[in-house]
Amino acid sequence: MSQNAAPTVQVDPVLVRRAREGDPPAVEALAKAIYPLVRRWTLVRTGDPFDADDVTQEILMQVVRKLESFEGRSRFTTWLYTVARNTHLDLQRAEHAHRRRVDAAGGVERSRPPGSVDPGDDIDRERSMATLLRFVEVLPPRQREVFNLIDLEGYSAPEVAEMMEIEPVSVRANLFKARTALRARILADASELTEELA
Amino acid sequence: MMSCTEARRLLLEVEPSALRGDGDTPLAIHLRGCRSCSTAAGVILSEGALLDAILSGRDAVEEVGARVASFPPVARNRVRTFVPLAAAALLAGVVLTRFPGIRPEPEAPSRQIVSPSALALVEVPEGRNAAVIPTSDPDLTIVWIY
Repeated sequence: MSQNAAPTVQVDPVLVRRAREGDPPAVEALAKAIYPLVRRWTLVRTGDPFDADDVTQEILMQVVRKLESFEGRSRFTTWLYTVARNTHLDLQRAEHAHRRRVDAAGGVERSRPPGSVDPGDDIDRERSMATLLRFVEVLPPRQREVFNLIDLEGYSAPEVAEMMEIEPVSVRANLFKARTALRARILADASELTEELA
Repeated sequence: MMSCTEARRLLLEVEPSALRGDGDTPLAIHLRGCRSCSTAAGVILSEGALLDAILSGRDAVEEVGARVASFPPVARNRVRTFVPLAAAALLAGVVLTRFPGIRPEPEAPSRQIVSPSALALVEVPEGRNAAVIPTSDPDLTIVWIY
């Protein structure tokens, strides 16, 4: 399914070095450069564009705070993925703790303020979400991450193992499960059409 | 000659390049000679391209069209038929609306005009810096003070 032979985003090492040294234009340029990549990763993990926006902002802030800790021993995108992943995990833990407190208090919390979404966008957004929803419904988060990084973004299994801090054998197992489940669902959804055309 | 049953099983597992029918493997040979299985391979590839486009915010139709050009010869004809028929509603949603929530930072010059006006609305404390990051939403710009 992948069409990429190499990772889709390469971050300029000179830009990273200048940002690490605190050069404001470099920090801004770096944030802009990594925004699409981080947004993509968070969308894969959350499966929700709204949540992905929130998490992406927090990750960008963490990246700047922690930039000094990047020592250049690994590829910048590997370090970035680790920061992004850990930040998201921290946010999930905080969210779960908050939910427990709200539940314990018997309260009902609305996840989004009323009117935060333009009603006119709802229909378009729903249509656009169809493919994304299948991806999220069929695959658990870890399989989504592995599938996205290898089959869509073009990273190798050892690179993904380092990024996700899991064993390479686990990466390959997750990739196999993800491919099989997602492709089977795709073919099942398109079965009438493929039979008709064949 | 590989059977369709075996080919369909492999279609679920193989590397994406194998779905394109690259090389002279038994699967590639089967795909070149079997309309049904090459159609199935093309459907998987086109759906992958569509998902990739959605996640990255690229224009889905252009992306899928470009990717279809690399499909195996038999599959290519099938997929060109498939995309307008099967994915019409889906692609219409993705393409016509351009999925405003997940588009990457636009490169159009008009978006860069947003930066100074956004900064003009924000008071940046002395000794701090601000970065302006346009988002997929034209009404939303992140002004990041650090």
